[in-house]
Order: sequence, then structure tokens, then C-alpha cells
Amino acid sequence: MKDQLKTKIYDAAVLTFEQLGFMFPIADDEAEPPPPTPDAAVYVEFEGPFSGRLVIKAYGGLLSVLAANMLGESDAPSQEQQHDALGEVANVICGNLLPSIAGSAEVFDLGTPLPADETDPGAGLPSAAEVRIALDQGAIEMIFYAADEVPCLEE
Amino acid sequence: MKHVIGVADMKISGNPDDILVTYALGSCLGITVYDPVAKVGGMAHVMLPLSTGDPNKAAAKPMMFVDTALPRLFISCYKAGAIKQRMIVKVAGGAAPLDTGRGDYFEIGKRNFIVLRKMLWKNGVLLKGHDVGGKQSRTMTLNMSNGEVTLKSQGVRTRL
Amino acid sequence: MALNILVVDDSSIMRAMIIKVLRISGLPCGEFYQAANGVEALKVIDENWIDMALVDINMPVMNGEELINRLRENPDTADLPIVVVSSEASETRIEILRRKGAEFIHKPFTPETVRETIIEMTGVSDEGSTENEDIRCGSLDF
Repeated sequence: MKDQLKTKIYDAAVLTFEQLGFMFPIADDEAEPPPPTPDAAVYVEFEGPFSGRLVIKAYGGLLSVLAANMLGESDAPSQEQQHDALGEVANVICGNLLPSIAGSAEVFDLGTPLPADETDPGAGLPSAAEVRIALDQGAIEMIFYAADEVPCLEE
Repeated sequence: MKHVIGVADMKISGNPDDILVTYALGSCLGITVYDPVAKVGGMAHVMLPLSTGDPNKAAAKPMMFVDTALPRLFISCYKAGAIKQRMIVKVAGGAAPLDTGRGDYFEIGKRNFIVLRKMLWKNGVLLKGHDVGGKQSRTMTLNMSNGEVTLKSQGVRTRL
Repeated sequence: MALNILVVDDSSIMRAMIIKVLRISGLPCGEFYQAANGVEALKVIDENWIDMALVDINMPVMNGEELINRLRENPDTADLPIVVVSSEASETRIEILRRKGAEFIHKPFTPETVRETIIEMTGVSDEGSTENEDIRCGSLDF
């Protein structure tokens, strides 16, 4: 079940980064080793058939590339735009992930993306899955925290 | 007159009698651009997404990489009289012909298309048509008399 | 016939992306207006002539669904063309929005999808000139 959840998280993230960020995943052996601390981390809370939060951490200069790609600009975007970009990506990943888990008939309410607490990004919730993806520029780590049991529904 | 564009190559034309064609688009991208007012256009057959890993090769064969080929295709068309705002851009290919589970290991076809999209977005251009992905090889043709782009794949011909 | 378009999304980068799509699409766009939530959007609509609104769903203060309800309740805006641009993927919720007369674009979107949706909704042509002056900022490759 955990592998299924990890695959769904991976797929939602890759789709989002490819379409909005024009970034693609690379194999771990193609990638530079990620630095130990993230450049930024955001979370999106959700409520519905099950509740929890998705945390996304960005590493290795991904933020400025992501924001520049989304805007279609060469100039380095502002810090505010960079964090906005990560928040929007988190929102889109979450929005696509949840129906892939629960089924397209279910309704979830998503919170506004907010900066994640470095010391306790999950706010005490248990982690249901963690996924790391190396991208062509930078890397992300996603942690899916669930307040309730996450069902495995067939699509 | 028919002009065949090979791998890592391009052809620009302002001759309405010309037909530009490129074959065997697997993971490669075939890119056509056409200005319907000036009746100028071109076709490129591009292999790999980014030149950054092999700058020497990119200097020698700029049409091999999406990021070096696309500017050349457009700028060559400008020099022949095309205007950017009028240019119609279409793309085909980007397949994963060697499907091994999750697709080919390096996903070259998909990466080619992502880099192309990124460059078009950055330079303020939208696609007018695309037929990308899957596993099948494609042949792409541009008719310079009217800008019509046709594809042929597995014996089936379609207009893009 | 130039369209005055309102883009409502709490993400400024998403608003910028949508506006850029509209600018380079060849669609006949007039003025662009922005709002970060439903309350701001209602104020913009009250003070300006708006021909179409592109609206996110998940926003603070007033979300997109509530905004659409308010617009449909008002005779002046009951027929305003609305396109929801959202990561929302619940068929249940999407159907509710469609029944309120909104079209739907799912995030992540391609720029071409935005263009095609607006053409289909309004019947306008995309063969106008694009605003290259506006997008010729920074360094272009071609």
C-alpha cells in the first residue's frame, strides 16, 4: 500500500513539474547529491474523506529555476516569487494527488500553501509516505502526513 | 521539389513548390514553422534536449539539441522574411520507442518536448499543433505552398 | 472586440502565467485585471468593465466557488463568462461548477489549453497580433 501511495505522489509531482515548471526527473545517479538542508519548505493541508498535509521541500537551487521557468523569464525572480512558485506547485500536486488516492467522486478542501516548520513540518501527524525526486535542476522531497487511515481505492 | 531533412538538420524555404519531409521521428522531435503571409517556413529534426552536457558537439552540430536548434530555426526564418507573430509552430515525435516498463530509461523523447515547451514559453510562442509521445515512429511533411503539415505513422496519414 | 479579462488566484505567479498566455495567444485582449481572492474580485468587477473571469477555487478570504455563487446571484454578472482554472479534480465539484455555467481548465494546464478554451467559449479568433512589445523583456532567444 505504501508503494502505491509513493507512486501516486511521484506521478502527481512529475506531472506538475513537467507541465508547470518545465522540469523533468532524472535518475539518482545522474544527479548531484542534494545538500543537507532545503532552500525552502511549504505545506498544504487538506480535509475530506481523510485529512492531513503534504509537505514539499526544495533543494539545490530549484526554487529560482522553477519560478523563472513558470514565468518564462531569464532574470532571477524575487524571493517572494520563488516561494509563491513552490506554494503553487504544492497546491497543484496535492490537488491532483488526492483524487488519485480517494477516487474522483470524493471532495477535498485544500488550505493555502504555507511555510513548513523546519523542526516539525508534519505538526505531529504520522508520516504515511516520503518521496524524493531529483530533477534536472535541484531536487524535492515530499512527505505525506495523514491524520486518518489512507484508503487504497481501485481507480 | 522534395527536400529530406536528416537527423540534426534543418531546411528553410520560401519556395511554394517545396515539400519538406523528415523520416523516422522516434524520440527525436520534428519541428515545423510557417509564416502564411510571407510563405516562408522551415523544418528541423532534433535529437536531444540540452546542449549543456556537450558544448563541443553543440558548437559543431547545433541542430542536434533542442536548445540550440530552436533559435536557429526561428532566426533563419526571420532572415528569409518570416515575422514571429505570424509563425505557426507544430511539433511531432518525442516517442519512447524502446519501452522498458516505465518508458526508456532517459526518457529522451519526453525531455525533448519539455525543453521545447520551455523555450517556446520563454520566447512567447504557442504551439498550433502537436503529436508527441507514444511508441510509434513518425514521418512529418511540410507543404510550403500552404503550410499544411501531415504526419504518417504505421501506415496512417493525418493532418496536424 | 477586445476582451477585458479578470484573473483571480491567490498565487501571483499563477496570475502572471495566465496573463502571459493570454498576451501571447493572439486572442483580442484589452485590459487585464487581477485579484487574489473573491472579495477583491467582486470589487474589481464592481469598478470596471469585465468581459471574462478566470477563477481559481482554493483561495483564502473568499474562495472561487463562493465568488461564482455571488456573481450568478447578481443580474449584472449572472451571464459573465467564467473559466475555473484549478487543480480541483473532484468530478462532483466540477459538475457543480459547470452547472453554474463555468468552463473548467485543470491545473497543471498547457498554455494551448487556455487559448482553446477561451476560443471555444467566446467564439473569438486567435489570429490577432500578439503583444510582442510586452513580452520582449529580459533576454529572448528568438
